[in-house]
Amino acid sequence: MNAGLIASYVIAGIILVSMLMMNMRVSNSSVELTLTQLTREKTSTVTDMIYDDFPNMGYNLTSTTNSILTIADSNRIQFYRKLDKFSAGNPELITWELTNEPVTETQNPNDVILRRTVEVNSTTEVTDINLGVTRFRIWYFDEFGLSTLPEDGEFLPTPVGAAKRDSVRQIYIALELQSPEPLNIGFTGNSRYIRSGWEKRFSPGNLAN
Amino acid sequence: MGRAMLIICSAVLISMGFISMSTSQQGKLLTQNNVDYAEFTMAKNTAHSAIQLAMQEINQDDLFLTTYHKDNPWTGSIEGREFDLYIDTLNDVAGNGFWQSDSIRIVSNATQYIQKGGETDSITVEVVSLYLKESFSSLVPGFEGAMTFAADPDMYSFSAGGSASISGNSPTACGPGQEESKAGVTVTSGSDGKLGDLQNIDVDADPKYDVDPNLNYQPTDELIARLLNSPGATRLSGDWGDPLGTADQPGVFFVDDHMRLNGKQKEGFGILVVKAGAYMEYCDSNCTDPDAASLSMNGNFDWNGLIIFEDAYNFTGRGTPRINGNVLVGHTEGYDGQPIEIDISGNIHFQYDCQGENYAKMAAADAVKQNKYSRVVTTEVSNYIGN
Repeated sequence: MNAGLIASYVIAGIILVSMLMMNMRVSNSSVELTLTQLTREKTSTVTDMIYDDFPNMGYNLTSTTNSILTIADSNRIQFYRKLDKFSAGNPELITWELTNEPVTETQNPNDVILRRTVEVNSTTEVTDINLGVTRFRIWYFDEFGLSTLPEDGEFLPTPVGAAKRDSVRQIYIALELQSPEPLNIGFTGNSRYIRSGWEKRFSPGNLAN
Repeated sequence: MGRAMLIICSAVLISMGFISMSTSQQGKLLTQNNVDYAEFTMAKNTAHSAIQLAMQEINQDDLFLTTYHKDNPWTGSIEGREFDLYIDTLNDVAGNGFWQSDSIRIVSNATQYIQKGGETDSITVEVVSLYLKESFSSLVPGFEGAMTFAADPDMYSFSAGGSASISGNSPTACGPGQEESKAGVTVTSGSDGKLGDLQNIDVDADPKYDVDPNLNYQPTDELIARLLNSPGATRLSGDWGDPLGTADQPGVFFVDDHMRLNGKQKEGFGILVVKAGAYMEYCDSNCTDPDAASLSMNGNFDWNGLIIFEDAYNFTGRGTPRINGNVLVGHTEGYDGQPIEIDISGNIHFQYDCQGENYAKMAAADAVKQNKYSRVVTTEVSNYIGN
């Protein structure tokens, strides 16, 4: 057989194998990117709700609500807010809580339900957010950006007691979502879940009054 | 071989091109998320900035409040981002006088347009803020009756005679927060045994005398300090022939030296502060001899509003002078001068009057043109609108 022809087949074979490898990697990368994008979209959905609630806590039609923060724990926060900005009436009591209840629809064993509850006039509306939330951590800051108890470190210790809740001026939230399905890594059978993190320090204007 | 290699290379290049396009598109999507967030933040900043600009306009021109209502919003752009803003005056301005508290609701909308693949999307942020202007007139002490003695019992004494009279029933209509009937004389705790001769003069009020343990002069000294340094206050001295305010424009007047009203004024409106060391007399015939820290009225003169005697008092009324409003006597914290001598004689009449209280508030608000609003509460809503 012609040596040149053999060399050509070898080179073509190497190129084809390389292309297959690259195609697999690109495909894997594409899946990762798609999962990342989906997870980010879900994160964005949750953060849109947070953006709507947290900066507006304490709002009422003609003044701030009598009490604003009623629960201030590391994974649970409760506050008053008037949802309808132009009508009088009792403000809604809103609770955000990271539960221990797993999301059963996904393969991911880490995700749990993030629950938003709205109570007003003896009615309760519960929204379970099962978009793959694995972390919802809250810290609280006073007007100096530090804890009022230096021995407890930088943050106000949680749960923040009733006596100190009025001194809360800023709220720091860390959120993490994971993909519902795992991403396989290489040919080893290992897999991991795509993570999407979001952090934000809010300074609700009505807490400053 | 050469032809085969060319075909293989071409196939590789085409594949690479597709892969490159695919990854590039996904990269764009990731970037777009960050851009959306930045645009949302900028739109929110624009809505807040528009409110700040509106507050500056309001501070310069009260008409701004009523010009830009819901049907005629104030529009503009900040760094290329459009906004429209309107003010709901909540009927306070129409319902209350200019000297009273006022609250306004400002609704500011900002829009950010985004080009996406040849289409235009927009983000709209609405910020609603309620602002309150606590009028300076809130520092004017509420009228507790025709006469109020907010002084330590050891720091004053009464003597009264002649045909002086006191009435605690307002002759004019009273507004919200005001009462038609008040005590004739209100004093601090422990003073009821010191009323002395005051109990002998004619008092038409229920109760005639009231003891208020919460009576305190301290908020009033802050009022006087602010009024004294305000450009709208008038210091009276020497022979004074100018008017002492009108019903439409009551004034704030200080007397801390010897001065004499020459009889051309038949009435005065607003707040009259007689301080230690002052001697003020109103004469349309013979005047009395000067006596430190006193107000002497000879003739027919009406004062409509509030008269404050700070740290000193000696009041003599002849003829038929009349005080429609309230006379407040007190001493500043730490005052260690002579005890205040309250000497009421002649035919003077002290009349509690709701309209007199309004004149006092109008005068204070007009002298200290306070137009400072403070934010009470805020909410914001964003709407992402994809077209």
